[in-house]
Amino acid sequence: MRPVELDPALKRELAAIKSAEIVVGIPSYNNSKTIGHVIRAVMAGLKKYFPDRKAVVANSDGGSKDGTRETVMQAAVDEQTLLLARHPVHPVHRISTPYHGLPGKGSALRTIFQIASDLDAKACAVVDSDLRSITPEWIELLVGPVLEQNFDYVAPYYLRHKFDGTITNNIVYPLTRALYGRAIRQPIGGDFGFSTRLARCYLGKDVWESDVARFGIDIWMTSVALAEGYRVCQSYLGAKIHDPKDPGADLSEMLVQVVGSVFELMERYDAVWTGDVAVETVPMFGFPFYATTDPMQPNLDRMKRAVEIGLRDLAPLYEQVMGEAGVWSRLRARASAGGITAELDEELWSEIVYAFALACHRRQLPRTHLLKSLTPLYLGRVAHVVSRYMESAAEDVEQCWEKLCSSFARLKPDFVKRWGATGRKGGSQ
Amino acid sequence: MNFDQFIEPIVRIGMQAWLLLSRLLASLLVIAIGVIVAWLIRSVVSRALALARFDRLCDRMGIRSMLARGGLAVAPSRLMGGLFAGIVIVVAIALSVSTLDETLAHSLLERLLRFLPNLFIAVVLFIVGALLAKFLQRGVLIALVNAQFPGARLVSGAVGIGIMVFVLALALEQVGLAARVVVAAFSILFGGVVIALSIAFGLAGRDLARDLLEHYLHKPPSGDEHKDQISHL
Repeated sequence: MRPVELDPALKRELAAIKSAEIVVGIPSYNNSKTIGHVIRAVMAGLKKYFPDRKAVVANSDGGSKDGTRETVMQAAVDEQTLLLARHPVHPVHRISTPYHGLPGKGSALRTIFQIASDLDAKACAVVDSDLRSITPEWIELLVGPVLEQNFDYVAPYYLRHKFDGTITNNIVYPLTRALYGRAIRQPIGGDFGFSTRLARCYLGKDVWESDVARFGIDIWMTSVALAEGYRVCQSYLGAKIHDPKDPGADLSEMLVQVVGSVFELMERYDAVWTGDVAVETVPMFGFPFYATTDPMQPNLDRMKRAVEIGLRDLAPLYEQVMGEAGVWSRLRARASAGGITAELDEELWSEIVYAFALACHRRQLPRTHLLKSLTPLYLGRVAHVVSRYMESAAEDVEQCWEKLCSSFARLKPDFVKRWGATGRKGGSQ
Repeated sequence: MNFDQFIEPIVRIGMQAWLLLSRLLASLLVIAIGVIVAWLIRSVVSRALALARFDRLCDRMGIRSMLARGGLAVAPSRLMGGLFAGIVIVVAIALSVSTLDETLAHSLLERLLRFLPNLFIAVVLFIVGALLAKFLQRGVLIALVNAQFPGARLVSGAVGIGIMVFVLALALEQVGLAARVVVAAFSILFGGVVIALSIAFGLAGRDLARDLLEHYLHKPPSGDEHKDQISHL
């Protein structure tokens, strides 16, 4: 494994700072429009909630061309408006450095982990640079549980629209919960708090040339924390509003990156999740509240068309993947009865996800093909949820996710049996 | 007319016929023994490899799934047994020919030895090409299905067939089988298919072509085609 390559100027800065108790990392790439607000919120949070702790804000940049790094260094906080109870003992240091390695959030975070380790920090947090809804309280909620309660990993809990985060809700959350026994509601949230002990664990993993270095970092961080037995909690952060993502971003590519990372981690930690997994509640910090979010107009017709075309044209492939245990025959029977999206309920959807995980484990098809072929079925499942809960309250939709989690948990023993029968063992690293 | 003069050629012909018949029988016997030995070797090799967990090793290395993807859904141990049996049969055929005519056998063997490397390359080309065709065909199919393209199966099928025709032409050229004819046939066929598709699309799919171009070059997505507002992550 190649060691983290730090910029010489950064090394000099770290040598001058010597140590810090808190490190807040902000990965960025061309975020000059929003990063100023993020920096101000982070600085305000550190001054307001941790005035007597030595802190560093570290921006790890992927070569922005729009003046992101200059914005980081120039963003200023008006202390008069913060109503500080105590004046900060230490000034908050600011660092902006380019990262090396594969372009992506993972490589940016690796540099932040190294900074936290070099400064021997007690607690760290990372927040996205495109956030519009971040407030100083986020820093308290992400850093506080690590500093004050000795937690190793703080996952975010956001207030979201009832139909938002459909990959999280339909695949990542129920699957992670079934595998590791702990209900992390937003395992790929993007903003986290963690201890330096855990940051050093991350640094020791040989994953930095893989998809983890690119897009799979969020689920990787959560899964490592869960699988390796670190103390995990959640903090309620309120609404997450960020810059719209690339509108051209391909859904099937998203599935490959996110679901592919989950499946890959299943290989790596199969010794953990195939054994006896104790179901534990995850402590929650913050002050949960519910509010109505902006209305949304999902394109149901488009989703239904996607699943119809998929079931028609990808039938031989689906038979290969889901033929075992009769999943494909049940799916086909419901499709021929008409209105497959109305029938893609929790039970059948859990079976489909497990069938794809097994096919990936058995290498039945090239990984990219397999994961991309999940797209029509996934859209069918989303269409099922949307059409069923269109008029329902957010709390009712939350019940749907609970039902889905129960279904994943109920089917897990059989899945573990079939996984073991295949004989490919990844072994945790 | 001397009787011996009359009978001698008949005896000679008879002896030659007997010699030929005995050689033919010997040759058939060699082939029969070869087939039996090949069958035995196939069983022994297959079972030995299966006992040595060769299939599991191939599973782990992804070889079995690769073969299955290429349409060769057979256990690797059986495949290796078949390969060994094939070699035994080729040797048996060479031996059986040598019992008939040593000169012919030498000549055949020499030509076979010169031909074998090209045959090997052609077989490898064909296998790799078939796997590639299958891979690309499936990739195109999934991409088109995800783009909700109505003729996904047709287009991906055409891609697969096109690649297979190209691979077949390459393989046949490698073994020197009517090389010029094969290349010319491929060029005519491929060019013809492309022109036919272009004309068909231009005539029958004129509106679709215009819509596609407008969609990609000018029009912002609107109406039913608008993207979902759902944030998937």
